Amino acid sequence: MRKHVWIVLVLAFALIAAACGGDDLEGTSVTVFGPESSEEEAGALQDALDILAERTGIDIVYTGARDFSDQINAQAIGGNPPDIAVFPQPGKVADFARQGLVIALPEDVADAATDNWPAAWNAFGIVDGTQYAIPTKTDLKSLVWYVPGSFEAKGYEVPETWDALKALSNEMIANGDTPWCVGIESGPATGWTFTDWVEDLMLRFHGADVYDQWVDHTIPFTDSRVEQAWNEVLDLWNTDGAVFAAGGTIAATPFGDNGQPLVDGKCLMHRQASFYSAFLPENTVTGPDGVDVFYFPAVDPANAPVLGAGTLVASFRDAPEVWEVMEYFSTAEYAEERQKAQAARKGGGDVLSGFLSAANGLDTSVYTPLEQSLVSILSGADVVRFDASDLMPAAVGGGSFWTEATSAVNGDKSVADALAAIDASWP
Amino acid sequence: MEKILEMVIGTLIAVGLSAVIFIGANLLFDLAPTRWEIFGAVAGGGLVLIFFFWLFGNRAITALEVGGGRNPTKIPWQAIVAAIVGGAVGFFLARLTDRNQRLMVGVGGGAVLGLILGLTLVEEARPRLDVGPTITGLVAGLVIGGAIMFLRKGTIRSLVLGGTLGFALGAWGGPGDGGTAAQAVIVSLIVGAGLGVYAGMAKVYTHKDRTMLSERARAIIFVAPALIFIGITLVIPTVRTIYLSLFNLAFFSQTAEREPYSTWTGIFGEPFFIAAVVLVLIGVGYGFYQGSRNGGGYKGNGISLGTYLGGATLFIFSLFIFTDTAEFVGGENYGNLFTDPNTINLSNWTDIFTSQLFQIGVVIALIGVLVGFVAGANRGQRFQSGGASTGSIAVGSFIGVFSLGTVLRGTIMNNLWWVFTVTILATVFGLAIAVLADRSAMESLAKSIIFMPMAISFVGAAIIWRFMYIARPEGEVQTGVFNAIWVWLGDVSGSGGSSAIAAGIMLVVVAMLGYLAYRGFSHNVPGVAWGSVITAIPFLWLAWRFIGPGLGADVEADTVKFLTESPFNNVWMMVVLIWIQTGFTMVIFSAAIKAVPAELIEAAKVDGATENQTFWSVVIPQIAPTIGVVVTTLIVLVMKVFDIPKVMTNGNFDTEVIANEMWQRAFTELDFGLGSALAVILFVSVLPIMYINIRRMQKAAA
Repeated sequence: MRKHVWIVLVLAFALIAAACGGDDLEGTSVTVFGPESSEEEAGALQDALDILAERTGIDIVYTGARDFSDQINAQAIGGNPPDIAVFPQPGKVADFARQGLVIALPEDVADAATDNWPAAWNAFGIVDGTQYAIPTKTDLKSLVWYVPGSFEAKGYEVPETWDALKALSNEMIANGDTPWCVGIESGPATGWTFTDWVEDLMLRFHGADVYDQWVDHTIPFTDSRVEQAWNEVLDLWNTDGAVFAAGGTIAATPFGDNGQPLVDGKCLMHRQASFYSAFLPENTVTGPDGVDVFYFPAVDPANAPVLGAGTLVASFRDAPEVWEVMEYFSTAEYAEERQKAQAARKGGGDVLSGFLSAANGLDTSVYTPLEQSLVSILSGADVVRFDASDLMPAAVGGGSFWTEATSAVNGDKSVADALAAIDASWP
Repeated sequence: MEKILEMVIGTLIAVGLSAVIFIGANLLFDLAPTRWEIFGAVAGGGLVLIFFFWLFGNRAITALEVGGGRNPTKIPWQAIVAAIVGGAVGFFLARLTDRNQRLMVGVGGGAVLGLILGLTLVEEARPRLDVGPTITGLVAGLVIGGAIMFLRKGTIRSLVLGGTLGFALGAWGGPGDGGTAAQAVIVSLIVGAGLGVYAGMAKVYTHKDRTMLSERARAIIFVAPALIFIGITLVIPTVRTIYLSLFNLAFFSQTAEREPYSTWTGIFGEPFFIAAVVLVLIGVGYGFYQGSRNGGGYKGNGISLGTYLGGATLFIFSLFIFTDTAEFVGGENYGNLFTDPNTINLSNWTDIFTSQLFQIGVVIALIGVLVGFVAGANRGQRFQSGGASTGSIAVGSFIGVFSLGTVLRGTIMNNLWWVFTVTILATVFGLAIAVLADRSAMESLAKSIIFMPMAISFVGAAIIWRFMYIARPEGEVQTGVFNAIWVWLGDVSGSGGSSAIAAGIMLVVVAMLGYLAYRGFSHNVPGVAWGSVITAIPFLWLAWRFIGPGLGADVEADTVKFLTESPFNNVWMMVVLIWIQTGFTMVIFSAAIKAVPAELIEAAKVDGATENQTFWSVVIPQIAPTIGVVVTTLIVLVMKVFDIPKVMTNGNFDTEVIANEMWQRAFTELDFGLGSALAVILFVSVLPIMYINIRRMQKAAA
C-alpha cells in the first residue's frame, strides 16, 4: 500500500506543477540569436519583438553576433542552442534539420507561414517536404549603389547591360574617376562579397538552371562556366584604377567601409545588397537627390533575374512561447514594426532602413518610395534565386568558397587552383 | 538583475545539492556497520534512481506526460517504480545469507528492473538483438572477465559481469537504428538478470567487512568528486577527441547517406582485430615465460596486463571499424593533413638559396666563424669561441632558420615558424631588458611600462595592432600609425631641403652610435659595441635612402600592406605576441637575476672577471632553470596561438595556424574528424614539452 501512496503523491505534485505551467505565457522567456549585430538592426529587431513581449508577457531577448555562423554551430552541437536562431543561410537550416537539431514547425505555425509569405520565399525553409523555418527578412542583392548627382555632373548614364556596365567602368577610368568601391573583408566570413558578384554573373550569363546545378554540385566547381564568371569579376576589379579599396587592398577592406567613400565621391559605384543602406553614413539622403540604386544590369535586358537573400527563423525548443514568437516573426506586423523602428533609428525621413520584407499584406506605406520599388521587385520577380553560397553545404558555402575566393582576389592563387580546391572540399 | 538573481539561486542550489549529496553519502555509510539492511535498501534504490534519471535526462526513456498543451510536465514514473524495486533488492540482498535465496532475489529483481527498462526505452535508444555484435560483445566480455578472474584470482562473478557488459555493449553499441520493442525487452531482461546474478553472488558481508567498507568509502567520498571532475574535464574530452579524429565528414553530417556495414565475420580481417589478438597472445606468452622462470605456470605482471588492456582497446576500435566501415577512416585524417599542401607545403624550398635574408644570415654566421678562428690564431688555439664569434654565429643561424619560414608554407609550417621566432625573440628581449634595467636608475618605471602589454588580452592587443597596421589607398590620409610614419618619411625625402636635413640628422645619429661602438670595443664591453653597430644599420640605410634613391614618390605610392602581403604578414602578427610576452619573460628573468647570490658575483670580480664574463659564466648558469621554464612555457603558449591570427586575418593570406584551422574545420565546416585530428596534433606536439617540464619539477623537488 505504501507504494501506492508514493505514486499518488508524485502524481498530485505533478498536477500542481502542470497547473502552474498551463498555457498562460506570462513570465516565460524566449532567447533569439542572430547575425544582425549593428545597433540599428539589432535594436530594431528587439523593438519589434518588444511589442509581442508586451502583449503576451513573454520575456524575449535578442542577441546578435558578427560571427553568428561559427557560434551557432558551437552552440547547437554543444547542446546549448538559443530558443530561436535567425539563419542567414537556408543551407544551414537544412543541415540542422537533417541532423535533428532544429524542430519542424507545428501545423498551425506552418499554416500561418503559408498564409503570411509568398510560396517562393517559404520554399527556402522547407527541407525534404517539411517546413522548418520561416522567412523574416528579404534582401535584394542585384543592386548597384551610386550617387545620381555625380553621374549627372560627369555625364554618365545608368547602364542597361553588362557590357554597357563594363564600358562605363572603362570610360570612368579613362576620365580619371574611380568607378568601383570594393571590399570583401568580413571577419570569419571574408570573401562573401566576391561570391555575390560571381553568383549574380552566373545567373546572368548561364541562367537559373545552370545556377541550380552549380548549387547542388551537379556540375563541378571547376566547370568552365564558373571559371568564366570568376574571371569576369576579377578582370573588372584588377583593371588598373578600377577599384578604390579603403583598406589598401580589396581583401583587407571591410565590406562595410565602402559607404563613406561612395558618399565622398572616392568611387562612383558600389554593388551591394539592399541591406547596405544600414552601412551608409548616418543621415545619408537616399533617392534621386542623394544615394540611389540601379539594377545590376543583365547580359540580356529581356531576361533579368533577381539574386535574393534573407534570413529565416528556426526553433530549437518545442514550447508554446517559442512558437508564439515564431509565428509573430512571420507576420506582416513584425515586418512593419521592425521597419518603423529601423527607419527611426537610421534618422527617419528619406533614409533607407536596410530592412526589406516580402511578407503578404504588408502595409507598404512604412517604406520610402525607393524601398517600395525594391519590395515590388522582390515580390514580383519571375526568376528569384537565393544566394548560392548560403545554399551550399557549410564546408563550401561557409568555408572554402569564401577562403579560396579571398586567395584568388588577393592574387595568392590562380582562379583554376582556387576552383580546384573548392571542388575538392565539397563533402 | 533578474539574470544575476537567477545565477545566484542556481549556484546556491548547486552548492546545496552537492552538500546534501556529500553529507547524505557520509550518513549513508554511517549506517553500514549497524543497519546493514537499510543501507542496502537506500544504496540499491539510490543507484537505480540515479541510473534512471540519467536515462531520463538523456531522453532515452519515455515519461508520463501530465497536462496538455505543447509543453506538458514530464514525470519519469518508471524511475520511481524501479527505485522501489532496487531498494527492495538491496534490502533483501543485505538481509539474506543463503546463497540460493540471494541468487534468486538478484536474478528476479534484476529481471524486473530490466523489464521496466526494456518497456520504457524510446525507440532510438532500443538495443538490437543482432547475432554479430551481441555474440562478439559477449565473447569479448567473457574473455576480459575471464582474464581478470584468472589474473586477479577473482571468482566466476567477473566472468558473469564481463559477459553481461559485453553483451550489452554489443546490443546497444552495434550498428543500425533502434530495434523492435520485443528486442528491447529481451535484451534488457537478459542484461538485468545478468547484473542481478552479479549482485546476488556478492559475498556476505560480516560486521567486520561492513566496518571496513564504511571506512574505505569515506576516503572515496572525498577523492571521488576530484577524480570525477578531472575525468570529466580532461580525460574524457581527450579520449573523445582522439576517437572523433578517426572519422570522416559523413560521420558527423547525417546529411550524407551512410554505407551499410560489412557482415560480422568481416571483423576477422580487420587489422585492428588482428593486432589485438597478437597483443593478447604476446601478453599470455610473456606471462607463461615469467612463470617458467619462477617455477612454472602462468605469472601475470604489469607488462602482460598492459598488453591485455591494449588488446582490449584495439578490439573495441576494431568493433567500430567493422560496424562503421564507411565513416571510420582510421589515420586517414592525419594522412590528409600531412599531405595537404595547405598544411605543409615544402615545394618552394629551393627558393631559400635566393632569399636575401638567408644569405645575410649565412654571411653573418660565417663572419662569426672567421672571427673565432682569427681570435684563436692570436692565442695559439684553433678556434676561440665566445663574445663576438658566438654571438655572430647565433644571430646568423637565427636569421638563417627564420628565413626558412618565408619559403616553407602551410598551416603546420607557419605554426613552427611562430614557435621558433616568438619563443627566441621574446626570451632574448626579456633577458636583455632585465639585464639592462637591473641596477639602472629608472628600473621600476621601465619595467612597469614594458610589463603593461601583459595586462592586455590577446584579442584586445590584436585589435589595437590591426588599427596600427591599416594601409589606406594612395593619396588618402593614413590612419595606421606605421604607414603614417612611412608615408611621412616619403614626403620628407621627396622635398630637397628637408631631405638633406633628415639625412644629416640620420648621419649625426650614426656618428654618435659609432662613437659608442668605439668606446665599447676599446673598453672591452662588446655588448654595447655590437648593440650600437646593429642599431646604426637602419639609420645608415635611411640616410642613404634620403640622399640617394630617395624614399620619395615610391614610398607614397607603396604603403606597406602589413596584413595582406605574404609571407611577412605572419611576422607582423608575431610582433604582437612578442610585444605582449616580452613583459612576462622580463619580469621572470629580473626576479631570477636578483636572486643570484651576491657572493658569487663578488667572488668572480675578485678573481678578475669582467662584467661580461661574470654575466655569461656566473649569472647565466645560475638562471638556466628559469630560462628553461620560460622557454617551455612560451613554446606551449605559441604552439596554441589562436586569438591573434583569428582577429587579424582569420587565417587568410597564408597566415593560417593550427588552432585557427582546427576551429575552421570543426566549427565552420563541421568536419569534426579533421578538426579533432588537428587538435590531437597540437596535443601530441605539446606533450614532450610538458614531459620535460614535469621531469624538471620532479628533479627540483627531489
